[in-house]
Amino acid sequence: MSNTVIGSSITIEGEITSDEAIVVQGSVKGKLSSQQAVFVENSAAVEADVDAEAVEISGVMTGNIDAKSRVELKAEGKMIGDVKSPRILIADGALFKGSIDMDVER
Amino acid sequence: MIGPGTRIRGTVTGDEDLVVEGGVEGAIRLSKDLSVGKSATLEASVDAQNVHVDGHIQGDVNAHQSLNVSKGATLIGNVTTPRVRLADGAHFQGHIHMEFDVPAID
Amino acid sequence: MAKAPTVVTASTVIRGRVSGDEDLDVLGRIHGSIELKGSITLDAAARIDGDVTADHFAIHGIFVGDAQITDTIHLSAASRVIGDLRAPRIIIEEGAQIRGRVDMGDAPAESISTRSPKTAAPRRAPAPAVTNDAPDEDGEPELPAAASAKNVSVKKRS
Repeated sequence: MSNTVIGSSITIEGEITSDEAIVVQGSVKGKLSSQQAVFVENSAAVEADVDAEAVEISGVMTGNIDAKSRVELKAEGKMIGDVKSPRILIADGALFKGSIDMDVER
Repeated sequence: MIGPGTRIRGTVTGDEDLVVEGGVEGAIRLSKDLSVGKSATLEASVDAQNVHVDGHIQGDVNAHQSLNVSKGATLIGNVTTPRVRLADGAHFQGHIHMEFDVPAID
Repeated sequence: MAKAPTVVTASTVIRGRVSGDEDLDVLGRIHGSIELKGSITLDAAARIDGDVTADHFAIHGIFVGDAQITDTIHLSAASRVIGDLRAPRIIIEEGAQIRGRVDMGDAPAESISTRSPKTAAPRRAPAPAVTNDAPDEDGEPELPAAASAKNVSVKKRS
């Protein structure tokens, strides 16, 4: 399985859509859509709405998430925005500000 | 063939392959191929089938079949051709026109 | 060890501006400008629509836009390019399709200016006899007596 990897020194202003997972190590401002998972890694700064199967955040994210299966905010992660997902895991140490909607009728 | 010690000012036309190793100022029109040797200097427009350049051309080139510019050669001018090759070390400055289409984007 | 490049996979579409300091492998589609300090590789099945600034640009797919590259632009046999290409070194393989300006800058010093077909002044010391020998080292052969003709016709000898 190949992933789209946005390297740490890369900045993208705009929309990214993919059938495969997207790994963000750099900066994305705009919109992220994937049929699979979106990973916002430690070095990443995402200012975007994210629409994916699952989202995992270890970096900084500002924006709303709409996930089909789950969202995981790791200990190093920081997020500001609203989350819509049937499952969410916020690790001890993570920072979160926003609303969570787990009542997903799909 | 136009030897290295020869200079022509005017129009060269012909129905056979031509090898130019000297200088031509004006125009070359052939129904066959043109070979511009290493020592050749053309300040001329060229119209031929296959054009092979090892020397120097300043002028527009219409190569009805192909254009090949070798390492160390120089072509300054506009080119119309269905097939082109620019070797590593060739020098080119001008417009290249080839007929083809790319699909429209959504 | 070189860092793994940023990869835009085949099913990925990016609409917007991309900038960065690392190499970029495009297997999908980018619709927007790219400003990179590094090498861009555009896969045969991939496409970029937008202007590109980078150090290296290897084009195997479709590129529509202008490219300003500090080192080399390489068009492989499968490439299709519509737009202007500017770089000190440009390689175009046979089979590539291009429609646009290809600009490698001004010709290198020892070229057109010192080799005008109009000049006939020899630069060697006075010689005992003028013969139509092989050109001397600086590439300025002597002009033989009657070489200028209004119209020269090259016909088949039958």
